[in-house]
Amino acid sequence: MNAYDLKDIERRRGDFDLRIGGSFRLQSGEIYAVAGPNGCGKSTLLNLLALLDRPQQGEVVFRGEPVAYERPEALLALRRRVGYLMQNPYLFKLSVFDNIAYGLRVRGRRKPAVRDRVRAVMDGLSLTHLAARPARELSGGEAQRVALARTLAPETEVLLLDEPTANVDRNQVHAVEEAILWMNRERNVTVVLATHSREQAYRMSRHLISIVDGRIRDIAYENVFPGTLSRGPDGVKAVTVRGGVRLRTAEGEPGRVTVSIDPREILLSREELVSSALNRLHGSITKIEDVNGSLRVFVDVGVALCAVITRTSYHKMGLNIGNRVWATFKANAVKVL
Amino acid sequence: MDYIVDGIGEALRTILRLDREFLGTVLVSVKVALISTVLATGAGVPFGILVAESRFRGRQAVITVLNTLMSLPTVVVGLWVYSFLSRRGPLGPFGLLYTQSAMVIGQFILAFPIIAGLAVASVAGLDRRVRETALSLGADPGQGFRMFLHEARFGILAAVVAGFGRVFAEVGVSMMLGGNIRGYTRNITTAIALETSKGEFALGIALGLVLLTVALAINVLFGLFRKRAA
Repeated sequence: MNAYDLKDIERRRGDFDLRIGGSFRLQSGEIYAVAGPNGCGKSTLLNLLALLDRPQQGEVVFRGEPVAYERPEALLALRRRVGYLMQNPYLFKLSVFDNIAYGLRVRGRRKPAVRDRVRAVMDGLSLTHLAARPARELSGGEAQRVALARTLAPETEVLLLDEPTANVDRNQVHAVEEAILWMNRERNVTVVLATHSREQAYRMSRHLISIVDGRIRDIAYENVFPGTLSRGPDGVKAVTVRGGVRLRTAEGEPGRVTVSIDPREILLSREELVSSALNRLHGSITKIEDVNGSLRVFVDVGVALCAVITRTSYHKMGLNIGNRVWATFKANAVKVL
Repeated sequence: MDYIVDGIGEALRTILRLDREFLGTVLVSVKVALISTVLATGAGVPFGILVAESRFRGRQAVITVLNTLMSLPTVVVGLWVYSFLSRRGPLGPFGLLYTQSAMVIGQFILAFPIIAGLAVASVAGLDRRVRETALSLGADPGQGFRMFLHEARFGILAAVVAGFGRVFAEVGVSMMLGGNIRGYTRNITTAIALETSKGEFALGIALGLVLLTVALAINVLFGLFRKRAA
């Protein structure tokens, strides 16, 4: 089941346009990271997904149900299945406890249930000692955690989180991420996470939604490797990653780095290619996945390298699990994060 | 100078023995000011929220007029309302002149712009994210509006208190529309004016002390609400 099906969406806001051509799906139970510069349409997308805003054109299907914007009660029922943490969240002039309880109370939950749930969420985010404090007097990091707790409390099927760890103290980031991952793992909650931190995106999600100029793309990213960058005797930079695999790169400074390789930049061939590309690795195919019409082929070259190829070339090459292939890619396909 | 000292002493005695006339006068003030403040709140707060929340042509003009009317001279209001209520005026047949109702009408006109104007300011100064946040947490539009009112409550209370302070202390409207009728429309301010002109300071000073105390309480409350609203 898909959490969302967006079909031919167009949302204009002043001079800004968010367009989603064709069909764009978010699968249930997955974690998606949304990346893109400020003002790229992240909030527009999240507002659409939160069903707080409606597109001028196109259709939004939420968990198999087409969203009926003109029927307030049906819309409210769907909205209540989504939790949304907005960027720079606002805390009500209430106690921490009452802020966190708000989403439960508007949903008409009974008092004992509200109390138990709020306590559980506060416990998970180490907020219990703040329960009675006026929320407006908290520090930035505490306020952010309270806002997250408030969004988590109603146990919605989907969580939309806009910069959930902004302002959070370094030593609390892990706990916040854990709380989100726990909801995903244990409650099968679909998470859409907007973050500035690429590291966080990689840590938490397997899908990257990238929005550039109001156009949206789903890149299932793979090929993220931590390693050590050094300059070889020939002056070429190379990153040594797990398994001793050396990846030539064109950027970065010597030291600990994390690199990523866009799976679409990797060529697969049965014979070694003679080309200007500096990276040529040999290995055998371990796994093949079908994702939205194209195939993701995993090659074990010491690390699992993922390449995306079309169905046509897959058939032409007659690839199969266990086949030995060459993976070729340029040094500037290896991005230092 | 002796008459001032004597006056103060007599005033304190008047207050302490809960003099009938003294109490009655205070009661008229409190009653009329309360009724007019309640009515002005009922009209001014929704009006203020509406002006603050909607976007229409001439909105800024409405706000400017409200702000100007905040310092409306009380005698001018007295004059207008008098001309409407007097026997020859359009509302003459109702016989309202020199009644507590006439005082309420005049004080309503004084309090309305203050309450509405301050309500506009406090609501417009409210964080724009309040209602959005409530909706994002699953509130329906009605629940969202309730949270919005909740967040604005101290600013609105401050507006109401300011309106009450204004009408409680005014003298022009009460004098011109109430007529200072003993035991009926005589309130604190008109009584002070009368007693002073009679040269009888004791009751005037006693009433003045009440007025000052109320003014002080109002200012303390106002400051408190403003602080909580921020």
